[in-house]
Amino acid sequence: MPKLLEISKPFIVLVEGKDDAEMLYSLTHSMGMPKDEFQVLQYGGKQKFPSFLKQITNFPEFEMVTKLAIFRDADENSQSAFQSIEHHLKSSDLIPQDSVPTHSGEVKKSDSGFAVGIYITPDCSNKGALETLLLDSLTSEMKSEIETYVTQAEKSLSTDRARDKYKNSTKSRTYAYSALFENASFHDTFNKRLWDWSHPTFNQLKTFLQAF
Amino acid sequence: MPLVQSVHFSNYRNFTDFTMDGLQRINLIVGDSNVGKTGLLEGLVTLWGNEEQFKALPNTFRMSYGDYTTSLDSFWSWLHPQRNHSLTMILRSTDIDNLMRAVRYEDHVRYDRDSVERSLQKTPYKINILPIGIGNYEFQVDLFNQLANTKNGKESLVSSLQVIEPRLKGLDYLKLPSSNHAMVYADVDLDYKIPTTQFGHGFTRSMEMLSNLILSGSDIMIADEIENGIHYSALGSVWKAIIDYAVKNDVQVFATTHSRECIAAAHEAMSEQENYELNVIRLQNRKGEVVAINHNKEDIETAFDLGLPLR
Repeated sequence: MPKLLEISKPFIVLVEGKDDAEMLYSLTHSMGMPKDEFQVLQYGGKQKFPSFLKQITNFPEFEMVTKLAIFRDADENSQSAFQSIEHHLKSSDLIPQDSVPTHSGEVKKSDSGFAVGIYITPDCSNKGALETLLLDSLTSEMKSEIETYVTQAEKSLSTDRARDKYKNSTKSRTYAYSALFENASFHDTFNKRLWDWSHPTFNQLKTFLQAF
Repeated sequence: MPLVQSVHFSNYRNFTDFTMDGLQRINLIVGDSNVGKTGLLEGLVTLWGNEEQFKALPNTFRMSYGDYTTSLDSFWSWLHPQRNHSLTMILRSTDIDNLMRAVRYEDHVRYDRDSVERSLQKTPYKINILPIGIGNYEFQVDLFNQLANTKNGKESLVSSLQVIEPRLKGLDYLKLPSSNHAMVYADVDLDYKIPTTQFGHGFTRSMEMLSNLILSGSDIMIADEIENGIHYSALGSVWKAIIDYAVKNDVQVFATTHSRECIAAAHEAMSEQENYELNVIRLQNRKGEVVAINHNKEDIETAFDLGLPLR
């Protein structure tokens, strides 16, 4: 039986999936934050977030948690994504209510010392996702080359099935960037440190993490 | 809709102010060792059980000794929190008609039960306590014969078992020339009958549980560590049979389990029903109080998808 999830650190970071987790480990490593200072838990996408939050906050070990960071993609609307997370935090009687942030990117500390922060990717205000943020960190020349590849290559797709499956998306662009590095899938790009974490586009995210 | 909607215990064992609501047709109670799962079932028997079931409690779920009189100290005193007899213990439940049933327990005696039920002009609940550690063939045969002696009992058992063995046409207790003693045989539409001992463990265990349930004509089934003695591969069949019977006959189930496979099997079997009526209730100590945490279908699926312990 696979190992069941346990809370083992007082600082927990909730992310949607594996890519987000790898990105955070890579980014925090670049910031000099030791990996053992926090625990990243994947909640499996926005649909599962309410149930995941309810269950982990009910774990007996949750009593030792003092810092809770929550990441979610904005998708089509950053404000709605924030409000959804905020609603679930406010519905929980195990989260100190004076720690629930009022806007994305804020880290709020309760009188009891419990800190909660919500970060809606890419930048707490615009639509998009983690990939949008990552693409922003590439040089304009690189972005242009990727754009050309993704849009021009469509014209050479040879079957109807391939054309049906074609996606002109931010994800496709990040995967195109990943493909430049042999043996690197998208999440490998984080392990192999192929993103420039010193780029100013990541400053807001770093400030958010440092605020805990 | 299940019969009992909520349960409240005050000053009972380690349940000082305990509420369990949102109850479903099947209620699987989980939690760490010694959190109070068995104590919870004993509370339900104290609340709903008849006099015989109540007095048998010391030996029903626990390794105990003696009878009602000799076990006054070893069992009954411990129903009070920290054996503090000065606190009034109240156990109550609210049912689908919003009627409340309650008992007060003081110094080894239940009070109020009959009067409350008489005033409501409702018959007491009939509960079936599933014996633990069963699997004895003689016991199964005895149950079957008792069932065969009741009106439509055997037919009801066959119909319930068809959920897991669709070929089953009938069951009979026979002494065949090929055997030197009588056995229960199944008719699965072959030229010959097959002894039930030749069926899988899921079938025989389901047969045993269902025989118990049908014989008792109960509204509620109570089982401690329901997975005991059932091979994990048979759990699916057993739950399928129990859930199907419970839904068709309006029976409510309260069972404890330590097994994740058992929860998975119950979830899978319930997912095949038109209405999903499974609640996994985790008992947990929170700041010295036992609390009940409900897990609905979405929670159970999330727990299995993401490796969350339901415990």
